[in-house]
Amino acid sequence: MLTIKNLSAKTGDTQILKGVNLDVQAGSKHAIMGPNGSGKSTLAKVLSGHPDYEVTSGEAWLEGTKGERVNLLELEAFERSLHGLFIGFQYPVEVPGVNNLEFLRASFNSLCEFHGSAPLDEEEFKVFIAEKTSSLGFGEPFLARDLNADLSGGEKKRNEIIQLSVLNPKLAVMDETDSGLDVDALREVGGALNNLHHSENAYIMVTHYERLLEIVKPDFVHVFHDGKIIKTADRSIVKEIDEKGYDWLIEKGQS
Amino acid sequence: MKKVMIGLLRKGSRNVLNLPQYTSLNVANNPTTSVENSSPRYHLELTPKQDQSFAISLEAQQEARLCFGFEDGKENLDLTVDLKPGSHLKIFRYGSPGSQFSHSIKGNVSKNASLEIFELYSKPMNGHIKSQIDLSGEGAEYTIHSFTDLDHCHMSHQGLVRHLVPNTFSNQQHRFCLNGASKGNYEGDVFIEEGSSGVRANQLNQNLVLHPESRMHTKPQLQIFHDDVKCTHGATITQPNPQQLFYLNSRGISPAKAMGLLHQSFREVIMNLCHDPEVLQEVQASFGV
Repeated sequence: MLTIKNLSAKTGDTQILKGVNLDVQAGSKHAIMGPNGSGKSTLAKVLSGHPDYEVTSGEAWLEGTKGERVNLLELEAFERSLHGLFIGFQYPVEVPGVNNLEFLRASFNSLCEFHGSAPLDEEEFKVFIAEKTSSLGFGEPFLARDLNADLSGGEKKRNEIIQLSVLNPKLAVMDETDSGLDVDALREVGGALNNLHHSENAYIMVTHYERLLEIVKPDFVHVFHDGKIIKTADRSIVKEIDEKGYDWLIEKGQS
Repeated sequence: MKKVMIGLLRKGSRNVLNLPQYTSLNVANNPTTSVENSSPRYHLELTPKQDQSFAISLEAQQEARLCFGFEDGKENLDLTVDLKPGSHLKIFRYGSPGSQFSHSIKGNVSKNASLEIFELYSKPMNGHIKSQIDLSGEGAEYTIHSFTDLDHCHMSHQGLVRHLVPNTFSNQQHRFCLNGASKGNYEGDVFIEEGSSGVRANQLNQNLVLHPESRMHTKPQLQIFHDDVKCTHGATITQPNPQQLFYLNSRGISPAKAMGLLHQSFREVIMNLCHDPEVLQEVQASFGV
């Protein structure tokens, strides 16, 4: 699904990623943990094509929605999305004036155009989105509002999940999806992530805490430090990290 | 859009439409000036053809709506508006793509009367608007909501609003969106006469620049000669927010479509201020927005 080889990237003059290697298979769920500043969110942003980051070396290949293997680093941000990459942002951007429902339709219809299928008109899309939000168990009150504007933290994250549901990507990289969520919202978002996961897609969840990972149980946990992965293990390591922190892993990695 | 000529129009002539009280001008049924009794509400449509002048005078408590547009060729239109106490006039004016026009409006708004203008200019080749609105009676109100979309073209909007007596209100919101080698000019002047206490005057010009060759000159001004007033004025010139553009891109929306969404959202703020369904219908028919 995703193959990252020796990926390095910087922002400004600061090198953040220093040789990341990662393989993600279809149907799997991965967690990325690590201390602040270790490069976790930077990996998500680099994969998304964020203009603030510059790749200095390495490769990132995705098995896209058309069945082909694409070099993500050669694609524009919108093309990466069309090929099946979804990034759930830690702080979804507010776009006042752009209606949320219109945005979702524009996004979905871009995907339809990419795949050569007919776009949905307003009424057709309303029916489509009603089915999606119903199956997610989310209400629709904020679909009529502007994109992410005047939404609570929980509502913004729910909106990201609705987008995930609409776009049905091959790979979803969820960057600190649990941040800012109360217990109930976390349960709702986590449950939705589980419902949307299947054998043909994959998740990478960037998180600091075990609480999301108790709901969306990862198959693999990768620990980041100083711009690269220093440890990969099964999910039993999450509890150990929660109890002992990261120092023991960092010391082990350096020894 | 339905175009109807009111009265006989001759180049350079001055047509005074002095509408008597409690009668109506049903222009939909009769393109000349047949009069039927109905509620005192008028919908007038004018088609400017080259140099023309109009004067509109509303008697006390009358209401009217005036629509006109600049569509092709070179057109000049001078409009004088005289609103007697308690009368209300709504004006919808527009400029179609490629239009060239020079338009002046001079208005006098009396006690408890109101003048409301909603305007939309879609890529006029060259447009120039000059206005002077006098609020001469207590309770007089003037509101203008304006959106100008420029793409390799020019538009200039100069306006003077004079608050001549106490307790008058004006609210001006002008938005320009500039693309290509466009030039926009906004000069707004609000004058508050000495002794005009209780005046409230708001003026805002916001501009979205989409192209490095676009140029916008903006100069909102206040001349205040009395202390007990509440006035605001502001101007912004911005480019599309790159974070917003990236967020839209990250959801598969191409850069061009993302820009289109932001452009639409910038225009919608003005569109949402028009609460007149018939005007909105005209806008839909004229511009497909």
